[in-house]
Parts: sequence; structure tokens; C-alpha cells
Amino acid sequence: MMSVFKRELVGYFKNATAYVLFAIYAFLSAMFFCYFVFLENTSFMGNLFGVWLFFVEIIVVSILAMRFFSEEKKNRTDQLLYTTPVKISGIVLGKYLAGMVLYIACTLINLVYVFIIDMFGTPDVGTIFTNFLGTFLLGAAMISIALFVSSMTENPIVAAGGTAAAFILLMMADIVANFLASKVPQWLMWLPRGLANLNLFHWFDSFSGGIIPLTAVVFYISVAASFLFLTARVLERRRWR
Amino acid sequence: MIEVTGLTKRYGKKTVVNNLTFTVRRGEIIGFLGPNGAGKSTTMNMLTGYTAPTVGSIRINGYNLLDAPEKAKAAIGYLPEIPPLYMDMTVNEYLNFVFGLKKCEFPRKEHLNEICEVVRISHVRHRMIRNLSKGYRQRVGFAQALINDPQILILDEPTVGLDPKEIVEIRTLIRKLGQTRTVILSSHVLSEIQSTCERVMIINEGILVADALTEDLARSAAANSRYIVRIAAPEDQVVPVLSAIPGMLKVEIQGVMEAGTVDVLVEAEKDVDIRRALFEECAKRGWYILVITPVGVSLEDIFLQLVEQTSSASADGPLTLGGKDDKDSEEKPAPAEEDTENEEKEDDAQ
Repeated sequence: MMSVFKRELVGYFKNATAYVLFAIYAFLSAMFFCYFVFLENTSFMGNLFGVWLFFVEIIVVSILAMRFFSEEKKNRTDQLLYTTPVKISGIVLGKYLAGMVLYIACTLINLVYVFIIDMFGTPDVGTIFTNFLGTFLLGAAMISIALFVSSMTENPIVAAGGTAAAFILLMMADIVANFLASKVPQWLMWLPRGLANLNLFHWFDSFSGGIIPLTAVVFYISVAASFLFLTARVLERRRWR
Repeated sequence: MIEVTGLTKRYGKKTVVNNLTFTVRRGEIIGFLGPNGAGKSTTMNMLTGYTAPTVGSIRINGYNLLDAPEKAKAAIGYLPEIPPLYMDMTVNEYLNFVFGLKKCEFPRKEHLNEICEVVRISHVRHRMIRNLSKGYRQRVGFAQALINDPQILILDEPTVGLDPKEIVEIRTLIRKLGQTRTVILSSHVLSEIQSTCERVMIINEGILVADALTEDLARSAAANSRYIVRIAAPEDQVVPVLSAIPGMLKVEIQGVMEAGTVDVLVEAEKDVDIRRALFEECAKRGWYILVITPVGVSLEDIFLQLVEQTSSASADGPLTLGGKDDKDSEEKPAPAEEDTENEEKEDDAQ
């Protein structure tokens, strides 16, 4: 697992993926920070983390999805991975952790904005901490979904597009749920409620407000674990097809 | 060392590999021969654990590849048709990565130095893989396959796309590696198998159609003795006169290559040395034999013959010669299924 992890992480920097992601993240997050925090004369960063950075994270994770398995399959380097005495779970975890490290590195760019707020006002350290924690947990879930999508295609563009589409659909679950709530009878209300809960981003709300909700933590960890398991199964199944 | 029993791979309704059964012993260099789409790469992928068989079992050093994949894979070094290289790494980084991936327990630096010496890539170790020529990439692929010091080396078409000089170098390397290891080499280049391997398995449409020592296979197929003869004689008289020689099966004019002579292909029965009778007959008529060249049967002829046989009719089982492996001859594969148009799927699978 460690070999795969190291190779992935070094690979991000070797082929400039890491620098591109840092640049995208820095540019977009700085833009959102200026518009929605700095120019609003507020030290509250909940809106930045809880709304606008979602779009940046979707872009970053979708680009990461291109590399996970699709590129390996396309370049036939997967033949090396699967014919060595490494378990598939080790390969999946190695790639996942490398993706997480890069994602966390990207999100740490936001610390710059904390320092900027500190220069002009008083940052709410507690809320900032919960926002960072929520962002890491959200990323853990998002990257596992990206890994899963990537394991199903050998086309990196499809992997990126599929991952972005999955996140956008999940985001829209709330809208569909609200629509259904006004249409379905009372006994079917569990349906829109359940649908709304599928929205990964919806679970972030409490983190934005400075709370660490246990249900959201469990939800994100469960999503991450489930999709890691599913990814390993997809890769294993591919050998049998 | 390798025991393959009833190995079958189906993609949907298409059978790409059909009931392969064979044993490979320690120290053998085996050529796995077949036309494109015959199922060679799929078989190799199954032998290395990259894909799983639909039916059948593979045992490597006594370990079942499905039950104990880590132990079985630890004994294998695999070089696929396209070497699995990361273009964004240097050779050194790549080999270090593979060293860790294969969980090698040798002293890292010394071991990698040794491998690089064997495949002669020491001078390119600090270069990016994407900047290497195809031949060097292939060598790096070899190094990757050798890193865990495998007892079994599986090479899938290792010389495809290389220039003639590189081909010679890679073949020499294979022979060298084969001195201490079991090597399975797949190829559709017949001369490569003939020059490198002691035993050949021919596969067509997923079926094992021959399993024999290379020289036995060539000898057995040389059913009749054939010669090209250049005779200074009247062209119109040559065929009737030579055809009348006892034991002669066929006389065929090949053309006139030299003024006043004619080139003739003569084919006689296997046990008849037609040369003496031919000489006497020509001498009697005052004809001069200027050139006499034996026409050998190459592996290519055998290959085409076997492939044609299996393509046109269902195969009864592999042609097993030379007594290399009695077990193999007893375990003949099942007849071909009707639906064996598997080339496209085979390509996909690769």
C-alpha cells in the first residue's frame, strides 16, 4: 500500500497535476473569499466553506478522478499493479490516501484567508476549525466516490465528467426532494427526506455554523468506507468478466 | 512448477481460451505460439493473475493462483506486450517503486544495480522513461519483471515493434535469463520461438493444437524430402524424366534462373534419398546438376498447417510429440466450440 501511496503522491507532482490543482484552488477560493468574505466586511467563513468552496472541491476531486484508475487502465500500468503480490484493497487505499493528502494540501490554502482576517479583525477559531474538519470529511467522501467512478472507466475524461456529474446530481437531490415533498402524500414523506439526505453537501451545514454533528461525521465516514469497498469490488469483478 | 488444468476464459458467449491443460517444468523455455487473437495474451494474463479464468485452475509452485494469489504471484515476473511503465518516472524511480510493490527483501541498492547490469540499462537509470527508445523501454520492462528474482518469467511478445538489432539483443537476453529460470514466451514470430525455445505450444482459437519439443515438431512435419535442383537440361523433358524415378512424388518447374538451365522442385517419399537416383538419371542423359538445395520444413509451415487444420475443422486435441510430457498427451482439450470467433474480444481483453 505504501508503495502505491508514494508513487501516486509523487506522480501528482511529477506530471504537474498537483500544481494545476493548487492553482485552480488558490485562484477560485481567493476569488470567492474576496467577494463573499473580504468585501462583505465579515469574518464569518461559513458561507465560503459551506457553499462556494463546494464548486472548487468538485473541480479538484473530478480532476483527481482522472488519474486514479482510468489512467492506469489506459496506459496498461494496471497490469503491473494487479500481477504483483499486492492486495487490491492495498492498491485502493494507497491511491485514496494519496488523493486525500493532495486534497487536504489544497484546502490548507484557506489558512491564508484566516491570516488575512486576523490582520483586519478577529477570526472565529472554533468555526474555522469545524469548517476545516467538515471540508476534510466531505473530501474523504468525495474522493471515495471519485475513486469508484474512476474504477469503472478507462477514459480519464469520462472519469472526470462522471465524477462531476455525480456530485452535481447529489447536490440537486435537495431540489428534487423539495419538489417531491409538495407532491407526495404524507405516508410517502420518507422518500423526499431520504433523498435530501443523499446530498453530501447538505450534511455540511452544521459544520459551517461551528458545530460538529456526530451524524454527519458518521455519514461521511460511512460513505467513504462504502465507496472504497465498492471500488475494490469493481476492480475484483473486472478480473472475472 | 506451473500446472494448468482445464483453463477456460469466456467473454459472454465467446470462448477465448478453451480448456487448456499443460504443465511447465522447472528450467524449461516454452514458446507460446499462435496467430493474433488466438488467446495467447489472455492465457498469459490468467497465468499471472491479471484476469481470472472462467473455469479451470492454475497452480504456481503448488499454490493455487486464486486461493493464495500473493504466494503464487511472488514467483512470477511478467512482461506484458506493452511494458507497464510510468512515463513520468525515471528508470531509477520506477525500479524502486516496483521493488517496494513486489515486497522484495534483497538489499535494495545492490539488487537494483545487479538487475540493471543484467538488462544493460545502468547508463540510462537517471533518464525519464518517456525519453527512452522502445528497445530501452522494453529492457526496463524486463528489469521490472526480474526485480523479485522470479523463478518463472512470462513474456508476452517481447520483441514486437523493435528494430532488428534490438530484437537480437532481447533474444540473447531471454536465452541468458532462461539459463536459470523457467520462461514462457509468447509470440507470433515463428523464428523467434524456433531460435529461443526448446518446447513449443501452439494455440489457435483458444485451443491447444500442439505441444512438443521444437525440433521434434519440425522433424515430424518433414514428411517428405524436398529439394530445389538446377539442371542444365531441356525444359520440356525434365518433368517426364524425373517423374519416372522410383520414389519420386512430385516434380515442379520453378522457372529459369540461369540461361540453359531449369530450376525444379522435387519431392520424394520420406525414406528415399532421391539425390542418388536423380544424379544417375541426369548423368545417363548427359544433363548437369549445377545446384541441389534441400528444402527444410520450418516451424512456419507446421504452424500454418496446424492453424489451417483447426480453423477448418474441430480439433481432436493437441499434437503432442517427443515424449516431453506424457501427462499432457493424456489430457487433451475438448473439441472446439462452434462459436470461436473471438479475435475482436481477445483484442479487447488485452
